[in-house]
Amino acid sequence: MHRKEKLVALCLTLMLILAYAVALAAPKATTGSQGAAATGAPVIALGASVTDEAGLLSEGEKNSLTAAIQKVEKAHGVRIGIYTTKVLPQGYSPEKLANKLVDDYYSDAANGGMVLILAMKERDWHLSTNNPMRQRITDDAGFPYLRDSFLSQLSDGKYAGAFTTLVQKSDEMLTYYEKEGKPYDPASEFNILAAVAAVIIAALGGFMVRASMIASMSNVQAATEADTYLKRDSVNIKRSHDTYLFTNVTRTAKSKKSSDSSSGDGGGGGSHGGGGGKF
Amino acid sequence: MAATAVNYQCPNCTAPLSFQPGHDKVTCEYCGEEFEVGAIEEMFRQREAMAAQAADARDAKWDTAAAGGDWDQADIDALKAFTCSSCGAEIVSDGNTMATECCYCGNPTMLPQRFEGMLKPDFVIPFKKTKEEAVAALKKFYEGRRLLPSAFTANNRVESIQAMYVPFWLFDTKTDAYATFRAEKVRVIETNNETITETKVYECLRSGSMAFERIPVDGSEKMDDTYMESIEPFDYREMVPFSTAYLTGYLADKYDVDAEQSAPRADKRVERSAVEVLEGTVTGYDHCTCKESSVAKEHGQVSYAMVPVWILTTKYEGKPYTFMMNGQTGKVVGSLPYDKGKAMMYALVTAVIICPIAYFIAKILLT
Ligand SMILES: [Zn+2]
Ligand SMILES: [Zn+2]
Repeated sequence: MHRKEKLVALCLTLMLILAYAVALAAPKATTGSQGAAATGAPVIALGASVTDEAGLLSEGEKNSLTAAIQKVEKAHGVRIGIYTTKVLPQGYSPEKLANKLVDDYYSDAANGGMVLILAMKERDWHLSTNNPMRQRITDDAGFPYLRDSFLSQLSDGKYAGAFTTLVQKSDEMLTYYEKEGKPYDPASEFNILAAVAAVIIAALGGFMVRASMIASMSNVQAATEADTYLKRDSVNIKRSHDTYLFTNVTRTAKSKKSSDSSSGDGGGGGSHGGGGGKF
Repeated sequence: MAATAVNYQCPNCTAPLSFQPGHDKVTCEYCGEEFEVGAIEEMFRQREAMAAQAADARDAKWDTAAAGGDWDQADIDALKAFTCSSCGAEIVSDGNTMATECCYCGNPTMLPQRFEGMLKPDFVIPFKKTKEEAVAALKKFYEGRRLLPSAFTANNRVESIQAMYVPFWLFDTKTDAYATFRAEKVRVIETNNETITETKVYECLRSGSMAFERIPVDGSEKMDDTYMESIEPFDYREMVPFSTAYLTGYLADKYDVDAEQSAPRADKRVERSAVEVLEGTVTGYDHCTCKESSVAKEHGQVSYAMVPVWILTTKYEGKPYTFMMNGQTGKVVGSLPYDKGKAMMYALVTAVIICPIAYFIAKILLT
């Protein structure tokens, strides 16, 4: 009885995975070709920390990155996955693939999971976070900060460095959340530039208040005109002639709102957070 | 006759304008602006006529000799003069009123002098405001002044306020004024992707005559002109021919700036007002600036009058600070010293309040 139930569950799971593999592989089979990497994309080693199908990392880099991820996972009760591929599987946008990987393989930790995918042919990247992770790394504040920390390294081709930075920054932000009880927001950090500006504005404001208070100590003012002494009925306009000269026309173009292409689609509602773009 | 010799100038950039015969329009070679030939010709005809008129009108001198009169011997005997041993101000009073302190510098030593060398005023505006009213106005003037040093008000001097007649020259004038204005009508059209600003430029010529009556210029050197101008205007309807009786109980300042010297101050005010009157007739435009103007005074009559002023000067850290009230209308003017420490404190408090707010805003803008 007890054993039988277990067996059925196992069978069902296997069937599901199989169906999945077939579903994903099917479109590929019909169009033919594509590399082995693409075919393998959806059936990555279940929930591995690093899956480097594009072969961007050396064995040593992969091992130390894996160790770093596992340390962070343990410390904060989260899952982090890094997945590189040569080409995106058919019918998958970077976002769709990343969301799917998070849901399928990296959602088994209490405090959330995230997956960064890199598709080398398309030069697409996407970082997907599930809902518990979005509480810790918010779409509006935390994600852009995280993105800015590793994106330039990614563009420069320093993949190991970019991934390590991602893991480090995530660690910092998760630690911050646990300590402060609220998600990390770079806006709440001390900003030197803003502080300098504030001091200058404050000094200027203080000086202006002082100057106006001092000015109010005197109301002595020279008279420049004699309006009061004009005999209104004596005004006699003798000549009044207006000549039209010319017309000036100036045109100024209205500035259009330009969208930020590198940030791609982040935030909003839905079940996933994060974002992506080209690198 | 002179019309043939007129050189046309571009009304926009003043470069020479050449006309092509048979065209209605002319284009400036320098700035590229296009004009109607008819309009340009008419404009220059008007300008010329005005210039001719302006040349005819010559500035007449103020009739300063007629101002003031001579005293009777009885008046001369009765009046007393005092000189401030510190600043040299000369004060006149009837025989019974003593000048207790100098109202210009606050010095308490006033030396008696022989009364001489002063014209008899033509008119006087009698005092209407009492000492009580003046003291109340002064106290109110001190009120709520956060920077006022406590030492300044501590030695309560408000009771020392003095009533004094101040000599004034009153200038009457008729003027002919000419001015050209550059006026603009602006229309802004918003389209989906552009803001179009269309500015129509006009030249407006105006000339006219007008009269000004009794522009006052203070005739006392010690009395700060800007103070006196600050307590203007006086209501001339209450002005009466001068009689020594009005001096009873009051002091009077002896004039030491004659009408000739005072006239330029009145001239400036007349010129400015005359152009403003002309500018006021340039209507229907969005902007108007005066390009050229000339104001000719046709003839001016000058009279000499005494106007009532309540005055108190207090010295603080070696500098005199004067409070003044128009003895007729009650209008108040004054300057007060400020406490440097208090001023700095307010500056600091403001800075401390602004700083966090500015930081908050700056950070949002910078991140
Ligand atoms: Zn021109
Ligand atoms: Zn004095």
